[in-house]
Amino acid sequence: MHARAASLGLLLLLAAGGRAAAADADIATAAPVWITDASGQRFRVRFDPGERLILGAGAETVAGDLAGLRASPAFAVELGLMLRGERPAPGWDVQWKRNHEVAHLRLHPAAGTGGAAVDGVLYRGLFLRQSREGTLTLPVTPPVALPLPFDVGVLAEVGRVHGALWPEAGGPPVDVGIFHGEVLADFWRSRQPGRWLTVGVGGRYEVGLQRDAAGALDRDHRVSPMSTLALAFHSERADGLAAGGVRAEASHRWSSTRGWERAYRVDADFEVTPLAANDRPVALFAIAGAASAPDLLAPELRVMAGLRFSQPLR
Amino acid sequence: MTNSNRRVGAIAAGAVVAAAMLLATAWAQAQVDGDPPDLILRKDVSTDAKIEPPAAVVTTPPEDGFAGEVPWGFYRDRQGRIMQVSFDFGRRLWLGVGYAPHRTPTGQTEISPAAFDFGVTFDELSENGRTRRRFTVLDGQVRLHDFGLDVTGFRYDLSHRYNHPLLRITTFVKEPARHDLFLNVGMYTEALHFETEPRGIEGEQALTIANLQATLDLWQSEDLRSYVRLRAGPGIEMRFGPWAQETRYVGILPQATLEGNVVMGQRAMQRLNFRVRGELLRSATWHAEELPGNWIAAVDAAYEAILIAINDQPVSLRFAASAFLRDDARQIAAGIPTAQVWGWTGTAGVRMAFFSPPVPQALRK
Repeated sequence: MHARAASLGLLLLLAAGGRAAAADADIATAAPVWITDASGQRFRVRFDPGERLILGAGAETVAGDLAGLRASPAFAVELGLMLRGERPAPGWDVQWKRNHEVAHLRLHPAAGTGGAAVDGVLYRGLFLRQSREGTLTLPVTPPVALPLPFDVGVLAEVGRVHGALWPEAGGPPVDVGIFHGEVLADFWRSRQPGRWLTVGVGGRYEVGLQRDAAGALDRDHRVSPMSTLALAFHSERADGLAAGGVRAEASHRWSSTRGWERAYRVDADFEVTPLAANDRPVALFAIAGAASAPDLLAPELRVMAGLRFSQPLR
Repeated sequence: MTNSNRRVGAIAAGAVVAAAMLLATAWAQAQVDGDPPDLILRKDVSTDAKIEPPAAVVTTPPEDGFAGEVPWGFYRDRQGRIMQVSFDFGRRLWLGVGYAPHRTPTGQTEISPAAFDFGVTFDELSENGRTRRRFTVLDGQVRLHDFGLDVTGFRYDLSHRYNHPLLRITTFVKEPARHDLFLNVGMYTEALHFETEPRGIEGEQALTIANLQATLDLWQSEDLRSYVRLRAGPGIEMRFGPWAQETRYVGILPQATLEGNVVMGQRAMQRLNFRVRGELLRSATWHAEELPGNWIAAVDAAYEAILIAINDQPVSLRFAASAFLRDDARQIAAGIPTAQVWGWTGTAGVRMAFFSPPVPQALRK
């Protein structure tokens, strides 16, 4: 168990293919969620990070570069609903790993009459089709099945918001993502929920809203016609006490005001759960994000760290 | 001599007439009562003789109604008299008088005032024995020379003992382990606390409209009559006084108190109270106004012991002391050497309580 505890922070780095087999073993012989200690006290020791209601609070710093992060951070809160599909029944052959995020938002104070800014997504769904024997079938006679080293999946995102609560005259822009979709290839193929290593190609449509000093609303339509390339890695411990991931994407997109341009974005998150209160996990979490795009005045770097309270739903 | 004989004769005649009248009156009374007086001498009764008591004595319960069984909290002495020997501090109406020297916030020491105290309290334990509610009405003290009044209109609080931990912490650092925290949380509220000249400003009165606080019992007796607890919460106070018709509202955010109520003695005849209180004051107006100070600290303690009971109403001896330090009187700095004012009060007196039942047997721990 010491090794288990020590691996909390190193899990993401160590969770390579060699450990996937161990994860699969975890699936086959699921450890008990509740245990009873010597004094007869019953308590929960396993959680599902993908099936919970979260409320986080912490400090957030937004800066244009690393030096700017030294500025005094502001208080921010995070909330969201995570849902995850049921685990497959024994003997499964094909299953969909489904992960949903609903209203996963971060709110933090900002200048302006709104007094707050928001960053998050109203809905994001990740669907990974897992097959015991991933194949590429050629419909010839007879059909030919070529083994594939990956599973396939899709990512759908609706209602991504970034910026002020609403555009104000002379204020910062508000980015509203209408839809984002990606076709994914999952090279990890882990049977353990919450683990994937995906490469995706997708398209996105978003609108940037900004009011000038006179109050006129400028709309900047940005379309990425399947020209966004994304790489995502995510892992979590089998008992759910640590989880984290990183995602990077590069997009070649068209802007209604600037024409073709390139945008880059990297997001990372990590959480570890050292304790639970009344069988509800209390986690330390950190989120970092960096974005660079022509519509931004300068590259944006955002870091948030704090406490995350969860209400398990399973 | 002749005159002397006549006088003696007249006296004798008068005596005879008087005796005759008395006899006549006695005879008439005997006739009214029915039987004539029994004037027959009785023989001595031998020790072997067996005298049957009258049937009425055998079949009729004693006039006290207890038929020899003394209820809990009462005692029958050798002469058969019943008396209450246990009294519940939590259920009574009391009136008291005492000697209460004090020092006012203005620095004046009054060494010869009298004070009267009064109040009504009622507490009850829930059927499952895990919640005690306490109601207190008109608990206060009025002082004479100079006049002063400090009375609380209504107070309610409850103590609860949880049989399950309010907070269960599971740690995952090494082997998963569960740590239970039993937090006995309750509540406290007080309304209409009226006090004259709390800051020593002549003509000023303060009325605490209400406060609402959470309590955390650090220790509680099995019957929940005794406790040591922390409580904290907000309140709002209204001050009116010599500044004409203007009423000033002051928010108390928070008021934090460490207090205890300990009933002592095998028969629960003594009680010790103490309280250490701190208040942070806030402006309670739409547009925040600067306050003359923003904190109050106070401490008080009291010891009360029931010494005697008059007609089953307990009379107790009570000693109390209190002191305060206020930072909110800076505008009366004229004549006061410091920006803060302080004062103290000592009280030694007696209290007589009424309607105080015995402490229930099961609760005397």
